[in-house]
Amino acid sequence: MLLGVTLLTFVLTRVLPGSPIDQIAGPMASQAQRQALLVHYGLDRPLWAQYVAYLRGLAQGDLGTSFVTSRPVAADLAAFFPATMELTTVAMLLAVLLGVPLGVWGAVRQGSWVDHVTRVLAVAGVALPVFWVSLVLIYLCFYRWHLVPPPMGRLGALVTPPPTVTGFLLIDSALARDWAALGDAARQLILPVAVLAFAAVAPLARIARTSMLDVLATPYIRATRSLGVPWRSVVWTYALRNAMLPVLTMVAIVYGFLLGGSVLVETLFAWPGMGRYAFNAISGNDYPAVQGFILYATVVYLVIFVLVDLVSALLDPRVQT
Amino acid sequence: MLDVRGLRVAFHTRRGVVPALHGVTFSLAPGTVTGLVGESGCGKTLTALAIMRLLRPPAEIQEGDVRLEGRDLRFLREREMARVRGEGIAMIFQQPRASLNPVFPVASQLVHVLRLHRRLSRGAARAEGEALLARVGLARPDAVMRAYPHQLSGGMCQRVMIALALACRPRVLLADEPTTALDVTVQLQIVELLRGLQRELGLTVLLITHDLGLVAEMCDHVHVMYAGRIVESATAAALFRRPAHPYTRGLMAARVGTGGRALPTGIPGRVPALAETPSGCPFHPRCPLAGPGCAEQDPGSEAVEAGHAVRCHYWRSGVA
Amino acid sequence: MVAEAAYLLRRNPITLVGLLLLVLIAAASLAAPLLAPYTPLGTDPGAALQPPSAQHWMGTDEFGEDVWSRVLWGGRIDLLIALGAVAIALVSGCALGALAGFSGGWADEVVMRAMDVLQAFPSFILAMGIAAALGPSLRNLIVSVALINVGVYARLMRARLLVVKHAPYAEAARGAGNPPWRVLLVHLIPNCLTPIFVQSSLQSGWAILTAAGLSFIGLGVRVPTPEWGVMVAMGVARINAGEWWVSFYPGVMIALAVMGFNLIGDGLQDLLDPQRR
Repeated sequence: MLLGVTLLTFVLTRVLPGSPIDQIAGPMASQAQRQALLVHYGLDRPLWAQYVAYLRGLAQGDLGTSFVTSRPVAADLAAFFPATMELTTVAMLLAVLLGVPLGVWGAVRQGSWVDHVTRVLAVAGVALPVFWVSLVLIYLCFYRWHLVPPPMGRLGALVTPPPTVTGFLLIDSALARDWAALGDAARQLILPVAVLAFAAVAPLARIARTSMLDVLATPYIRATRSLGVPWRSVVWTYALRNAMLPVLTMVAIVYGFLLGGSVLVETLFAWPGMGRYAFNAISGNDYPAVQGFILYATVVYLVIFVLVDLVSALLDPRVQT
Repeated sequence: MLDVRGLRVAFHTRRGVVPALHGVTFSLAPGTVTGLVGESGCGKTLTALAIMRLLRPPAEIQEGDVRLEGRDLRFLREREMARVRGEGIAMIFQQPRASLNPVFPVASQLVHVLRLHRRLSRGAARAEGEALLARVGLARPDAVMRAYPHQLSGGMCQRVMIALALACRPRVLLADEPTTALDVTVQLQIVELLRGLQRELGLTVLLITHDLGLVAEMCDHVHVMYAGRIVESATAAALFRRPAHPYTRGLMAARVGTGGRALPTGIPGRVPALAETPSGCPFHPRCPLAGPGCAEQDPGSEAVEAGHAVRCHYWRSGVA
Repeated sequence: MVAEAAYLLRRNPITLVGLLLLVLIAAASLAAPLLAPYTPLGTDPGAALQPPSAQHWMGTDEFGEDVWSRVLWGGRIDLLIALGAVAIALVSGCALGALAGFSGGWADEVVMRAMDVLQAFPSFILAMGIAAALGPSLRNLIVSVALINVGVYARLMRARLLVVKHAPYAEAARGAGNPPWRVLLVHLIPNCLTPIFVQSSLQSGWAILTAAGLSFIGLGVRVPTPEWGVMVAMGVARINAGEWWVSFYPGVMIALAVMGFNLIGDGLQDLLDPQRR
């Protein structure tokens, strides 16, 4: 499986048009210099040999060296990873905390105004393009109404970052008791998180609603009610547990969507994360960086799926691990 | 104890409102076992669910009176009705394993119900739960408490359900086909269990079944249902001695007899789909006694003898 | 079937809205040559960056092109991308799924593993990779979007086929002497199509979003082609100067089109799966 993934990424990036050598060497380089660079980067060897070399490097955790920054891709990605993770994780948490209760409420009180609002939100969240929503919010909240700081990255220009422990600014500044930095980091997070969360709430609310509706119609919920358990307990203590299983799977899928969306959002908010790194890499024909990013993102995605599987197994005793 | 009068239930479908129960009326006397007999689709389960107010859209109660010890159940607020469920009336269902929540161990639900209805502490509830499981005939109550429904057999699940119902100390028990989904040997055990418990606790039971043998064993009174109506009511003894309605007689003839009897004869035709209920008496297309007037007018209730009523125009011509 | 559809449309006015929306957009795009007051590539530097007015309903962009006209013409491109990509994904995905489901054995293994690999990637990121590899152009954009959706159709087709393969009518057809490929084509596949149609509607919406996103970061269609995603990108730098209309309207169109597709997809689901409410 992983082999297939690496193969595909490799093939894709090698097919990138334009030669990176032109980028690195610049227009003034002589033929001899170009040749030397080709050899240096191993680009003169046949493709399959390059692939094998790449795999060998992978086994040692080496993702190659960026053509643009001349630093190991693995190091670059590791440096930018926490920024993206903080963004997507906070957005995901917000989406779950908002979306699931909304979906459940919509299922329990079908036809109420909450139900209608949730359905409209769900349709909107799925249909509105992430990059457009970002722009609209930046325009309104920053430019027009001056509600949020300028979209210039994770911290305001004049704020010093706290010492790095986890790479998550929110956690690090809390640990260092640097409340000014914490507040600033939080303020910078508001808009990009809002955009991503809005997109993520939609599918989560939907699946929560559908799942809850299905569960409420089952014979076992009917049996629970027949024993005189009050409706509130039926929904929140019993049905919720049953309904959460499909929601969890959707969380994993939405995470993948957020990872993709982070490319768009990070570029617009000047967020120093993996997404922006990838964007720059693609524009610069930086093979190893692009490859590295795709692999990294995919591995993160797979890890999340595994985590979700584990949690599902905990919740549902029928699943055999 | 429990009075049902003129219960009408209908389904709201794409093709309009389809009636399912047409004025069902019966009473349960305290401490007795009453059977509600009929083939699948005649509305027996629907009646029980309507009494418990567990119907979900598109089904809806349109008319009727349901009273528990004189108290009107139909117009109670949901919170009040939840209190009646369990302590007033409890129900056991047809598919035991499907009726237990798969992601909770048996202990959770049992303990919750015990604490809810009897206000026991957690420890006392656990102990009582195990005692109940033992009472319904489970060999290793402690193991069952920890188990999940998918780890238990059908018979064990049914016993657990009975334990759950008993935990509420109900006055009335609605048993919807409690043995149908089980193996034959297990069926006998469950029947024994139910009989014993009913006698011991003086429960008022409504036994819903299509099995006449079960009725003969357990029931004091019987009501026969067809197409959403009660077509005959009598004591069990009277019903078996002198079945009046052609449908009841058809059901009796369809049983496998013991020793030297003729082969069972089925009733020709099939139970009509809800939306295609025949006019007048719904049984007339399949009825050997059908005559003029049967297709036009639904028969009213007539007395065969004291305590024995039937709804048929021509029942006399069939009865010896 | 028509009566049921009419009943459902009356019960679900939202689906009707979706249908109308999409029909409107499609009609407007098709009629672009007639409706657009200006040509989509007609630059007019003197009229650059004007806010919405009577002459330019949606304002003009930095080259002086009328946004409303470009939006109309853009509709053709975006709808073409969506329908084209979905059509390609559908045909190839179903073919692969049919091959896997019908033949079984190692063909099944190989195809399904390939689909697994495809689906292991977060879809937008994979699309980025493919689009980057192929180079930015309209055709390559369609191909990229199509490729990331193939897996969905393959899986659907295969799952349905596995169920339907053993149905009595299939056995009967085979027993009557039909060669396997004929049984597949004539008898089995038509019975697998219903969930696929529902999916297609939803996939079309997603296709537009992906295509617009790719174009936005420069991996799809390029300036000056009027495509909604590219148009939003063109307006990014203008936001800070307060010229919001360049990005705003194309984005709204994307949202409306996607919403239309999604609502139709939901309606189809309700129609075909009567237990859903």
